[in-house]
Amino acid sequence: MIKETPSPVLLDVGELTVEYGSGEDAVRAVDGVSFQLRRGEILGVAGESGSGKSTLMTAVTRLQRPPARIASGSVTYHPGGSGSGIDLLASTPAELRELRWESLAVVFQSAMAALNPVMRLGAQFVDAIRAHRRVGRKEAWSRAEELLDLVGIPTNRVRSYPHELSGGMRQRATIALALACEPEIIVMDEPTTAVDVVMQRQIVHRLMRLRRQFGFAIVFVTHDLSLLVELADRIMVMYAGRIVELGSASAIYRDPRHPYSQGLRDSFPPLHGPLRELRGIPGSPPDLRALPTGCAFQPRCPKRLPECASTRPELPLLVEHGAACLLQRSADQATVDESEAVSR
Amino acid sequence: MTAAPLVAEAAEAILQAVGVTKRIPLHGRDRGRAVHALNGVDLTLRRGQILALVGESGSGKSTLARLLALGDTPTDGEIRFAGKQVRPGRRADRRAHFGRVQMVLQDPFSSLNNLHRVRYILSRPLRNFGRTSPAEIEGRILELLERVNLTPATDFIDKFPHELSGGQRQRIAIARALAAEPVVLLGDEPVSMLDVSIRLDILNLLAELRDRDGLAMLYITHDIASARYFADEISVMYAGHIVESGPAEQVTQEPKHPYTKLLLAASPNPDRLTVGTEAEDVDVDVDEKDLAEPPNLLAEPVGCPFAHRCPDAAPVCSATAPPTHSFAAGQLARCWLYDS
Repeated sequence: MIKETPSPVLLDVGELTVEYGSGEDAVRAVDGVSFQLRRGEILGVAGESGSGKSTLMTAVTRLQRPPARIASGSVTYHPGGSGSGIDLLASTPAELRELRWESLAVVFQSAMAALNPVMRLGAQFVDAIRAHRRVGRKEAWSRAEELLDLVGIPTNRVRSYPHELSGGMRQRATIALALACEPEIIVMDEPTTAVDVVMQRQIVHRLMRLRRQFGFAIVFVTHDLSLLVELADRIMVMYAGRIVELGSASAIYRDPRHPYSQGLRDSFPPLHGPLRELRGIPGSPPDLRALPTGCAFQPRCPKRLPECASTRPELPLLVEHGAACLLQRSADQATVDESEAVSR
Repeated sequence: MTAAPLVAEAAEAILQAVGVTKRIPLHGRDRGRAVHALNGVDLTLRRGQILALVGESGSGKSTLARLLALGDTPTDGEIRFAGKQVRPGRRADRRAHFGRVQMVLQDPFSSLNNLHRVRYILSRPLRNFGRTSPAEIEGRILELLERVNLTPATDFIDKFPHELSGGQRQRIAIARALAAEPVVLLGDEPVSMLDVSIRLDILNLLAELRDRDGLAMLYITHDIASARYFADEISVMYAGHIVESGPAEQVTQEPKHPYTKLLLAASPNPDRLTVGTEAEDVDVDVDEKDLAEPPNLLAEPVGCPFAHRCPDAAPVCSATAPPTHSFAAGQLARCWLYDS
């Protein structure tokens, strides 16, 4: 899973800021977020409600609705990981229509709301396919059957209405729909939250196999860090609209550097091994309308330093694994000092 | 917090479901048919113990909780409190039961009345169960708020639910349940709607209440890892049947029923990272066969409900109901596998 040379960048998000409302009352839901999605990777986005993870995804896919507003930043899509980029924020609705399904597809949490309840399942596939491919109806219907088969739904279900399917089937159907035009990027916003664990495992299992088969990249958004650790190549942890930690999945699990990521990891009781009392994270998630000064996590942080209330830590750029935390900076400083001492 | 399997047998049984069956009749086109929600379920809640009820959605967990709280009446079987049958038809029984058995629901955003302040929400059970004189009510409310760690209590008493976060609302819901001075608390997925970072806080609070007040608790969840952490005993439910039960550690570390094994194999487990990096290698337990549809609850249950998904199914499984086998430490499993 860990590749020596990083794959080419597909999606480059730079300093993206999304606000709800404008002027004085604007609430900043996403604040200067930068990340890159590489070809064929699974990027996990972990965070709690209000951390801005869904707002970020709707902004990146240009699906945000007023009062949400992209205040600044850039989203560039590099088709096939090529050098030339398409500025998604400057794209017209017609240009976006071209890209959707074809290059970039989205799977939402509630499959019931994502599927049209008065259209047969197959017809919804046919719509998406015929909007992008010059194929006949008959061919499109058989393609729909193929896609359903990919996610393990019996092909005769193609003529079913969404309400005739179980919750897990519906969720798998939306994944199949996202695959309809073989996009390069699939954004999944909590795709397995509404289904139970056995179904979740099956969906994830399918997804991994399909990714191996088609090589698409996935942005997987969830609050379930324990699932992400198993599934994702890299994970970014969000808190109060900012990325607080970014690193490989195993690094985030074994060696979380931000106290919030540590708390999040320790919030999941282990299934095996010794049991010890777990404490979670004290306090409540932040109110975006009145964020604390300095680091947003500082009021809940068990390792708070005096300067945390005044200095806002930044996420180090261009590192494999970094955390936006002052402690981290002093830790880095310490290693630098150490190596200097050694070299002397 | 450690599981105490040996105390389990000693502790006094408070609330019991004995051979409870629930059929829910259908209407319209399906008139005459019924959903077999529960089939001969036995469950015992003991003083000072937490029993986790684990299973997938639609397995009957919430139906059982509703029957235990007298929100509905069983088709067959009985609910017993302290060894005596509770007759839902008798008003006196119902009233006494409501005061002793309280529920904490899943969604604190819809279980609290948004039009009322915390003061009113918490005063209702105090008045209804008549154990507090009007003059004492405010003091009792403050005390309840402190018990659920909403401090300083005076800051919270005049708040509306919308002014509180999800975790704080769930604390109010717990305080409301405690106001009636119950001996049993039924938690129907009490933390699944909450943010991950505050789930443990609420579970630890409930465990504290168990330790301090000796409450008996039912913890309904689909998260078997949290059941292991929080509960003393676990019962696993599938299609309205209890398929396995026993001490939490025993059930999660040495599962006997194939469904429990499937549930454990399917749960996210980051430690798998150390086993291998390719997800496929470790996912062998969850193969194509499991994609079979969930059980049909409309049909009269014959044989083992899990037979059509079970990797170890034999012909006998779909023909005859499996016997119950007991193992060490009080672990029980309903499965033909152990029939020698």
